Amino acid sequence: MSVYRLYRRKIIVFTTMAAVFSFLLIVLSYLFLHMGYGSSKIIYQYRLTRIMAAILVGLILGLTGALLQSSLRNPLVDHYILGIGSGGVFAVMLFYLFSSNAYSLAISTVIAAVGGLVALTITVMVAESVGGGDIAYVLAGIGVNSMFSGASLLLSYIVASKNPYIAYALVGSFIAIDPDWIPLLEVLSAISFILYILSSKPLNTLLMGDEYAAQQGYNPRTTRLLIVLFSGVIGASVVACCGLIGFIGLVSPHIARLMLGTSDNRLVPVIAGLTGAILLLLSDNFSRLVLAGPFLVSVGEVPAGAIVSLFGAPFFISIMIRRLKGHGA
Amino acid sequence: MNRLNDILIDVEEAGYRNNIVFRDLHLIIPSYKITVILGPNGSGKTTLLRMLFKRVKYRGTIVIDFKELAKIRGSNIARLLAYMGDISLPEMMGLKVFEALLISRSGLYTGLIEKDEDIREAEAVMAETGIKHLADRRLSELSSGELRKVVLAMALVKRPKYLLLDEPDSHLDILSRIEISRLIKRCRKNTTIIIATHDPVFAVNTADYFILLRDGKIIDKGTIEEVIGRKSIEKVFGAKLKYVYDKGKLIGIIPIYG
Ligand SMILES: Nc1ncnc2c1ncn2[C@@H]1O[C@H](COP(=O)(O)OP(=O)(O)OP(=O)(O)O)[C@@H](O)[C@H]1O
Ligand SMILES: [Mg+2]
Repeated sequence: MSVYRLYRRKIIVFTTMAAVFSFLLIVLSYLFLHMGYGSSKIIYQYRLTRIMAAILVGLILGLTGALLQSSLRNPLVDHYILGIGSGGVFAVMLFYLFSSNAYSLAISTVIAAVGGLVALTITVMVAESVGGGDIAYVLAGIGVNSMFSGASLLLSYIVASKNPYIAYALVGSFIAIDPDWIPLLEVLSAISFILYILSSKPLNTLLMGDEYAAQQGYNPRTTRLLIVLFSGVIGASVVACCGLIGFIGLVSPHIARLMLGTSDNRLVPVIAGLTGAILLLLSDNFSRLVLAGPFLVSVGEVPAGAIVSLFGAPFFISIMIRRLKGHGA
Repeated sequence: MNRLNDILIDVEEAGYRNNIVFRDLHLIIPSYKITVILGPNGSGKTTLLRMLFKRVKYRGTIVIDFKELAKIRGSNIARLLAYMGDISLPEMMGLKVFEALLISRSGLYTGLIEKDEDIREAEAVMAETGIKHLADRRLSELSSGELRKVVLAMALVKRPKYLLLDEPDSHLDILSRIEISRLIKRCRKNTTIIIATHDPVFAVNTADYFILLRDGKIIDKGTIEEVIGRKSIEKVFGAKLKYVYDKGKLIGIIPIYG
């Protein structure tokens, strides 16, 4: 029977695809650094920066979303639903509030990561205290999310005098993107790739339950904790760059699983990353070209995060319905 | 037969944070035999099996594969033994049967992608356990009996030295029980098998050696003749039993309800 060899080929093909994709990214960033002469250089740089940022952020969010879902065995979560993103936004706002105008991108990324970590801790503690079911995580996350979003909204009015683009942090947008973000995002996506490679085998065993993972030699609790921690924190740190973009991390793994016909964690995170990159790029371009373009009555640019929510939220509701119906609840 | 592979359990206390299940447990589980742990619900069968892959805290020594369990690393435990209990997959994160078999071997190969050998073993095990026709089905779409066979296959596919089976007979119809029993007996040659069950009929038809457990205490151990002679099966379940013999061979045990 060659069916199983075919399956192996599938894994090889998809991982190669991911490698090619990463290579293209490197080429693109090379172009980004050297393309465009004369008067159009600025425009080129701005557009390329934006495209690169959307791709990289989508990649990171899709990939870490898949890791979060698999490690928590919960198809309803991403860094947005769990409140991790809002925690990051809140921390960044606080930082802007107390620091001078001069700030470093790397530092604000670390700050966002710390905020995400705090939010994640609260969500996990609350959800685990009520049994740790997947709906418990969603509800705890919504609570934490509302808390930090509310606080961030409040702060944004104060911070706006220092940084007029800060309001975008709450919806997520690439309008105010700075080219210096690109290397940072590349580092973050490299880290998430490494995390994916290290965690794909243990995650596959965790998928079949703690007891099963244990007899395969993994300590289920520590393994899960480490993966949730790292993928959550990476998802949160992206917030410092482009604000809170929800649902990409939630939707992409589902699309990946659907396309692949499997939940094998050697495949799903990569393809979820690619899906996330494509979705976010499309959303951002839709905002830039269609809504702000000549085709419709021009409404000006809408933040990409808003467009993502427009298709992401109904998708989330449909998964929720399917999940609850399947459970007989 | 080489006795170096026996499992030695010499434990003062074992159990859960707020619930000590075993006190002064001293046991030898013979290698290359089928040992059954027989006892009523809550007697500690699952706990005993889970102890053998470090899932239950204990004070004392356990020697397995001529090494102290506490000193065996997780990755080596994965190669050494397989545990078959319940598995459950989250909804919307399904796996197919052959994927689950390949994942079960993931502790045996290095790198992310399985080798030819892993695929061969997966195919062989599917043939042995009679689940070839289920290969492309999703685990979540199997009947509980079919799933039971798949889970057994997932344990066998590792070709472990020690095979720990937690109620391999549950959810199975009469013929499937007989088949599973035969299948387990066929593995005896190069595997030390420990089965936890509360069905004495399945036990006497499958095992060579019996450990009778009740409330974390060993009531009796020995061959079937020995434990029946001492009326230990009655003692452990607290019920009257009638033994059915055919041509001098014990073939069934019937509980008396009356
Ligand atoms: N995670 C746990 N924490 C605390 N106590 C537990 C835990 N799991 C089991 N126990 C207790 O340990 C004792 C032994 O349980 P165990 O699961 O080993 O029984 P068993 O013989 O496998 O029963 P069954 O035939 O019902 O499967 C029981 O009293 C049970 O309540
Ligand atoms: Mg049990």
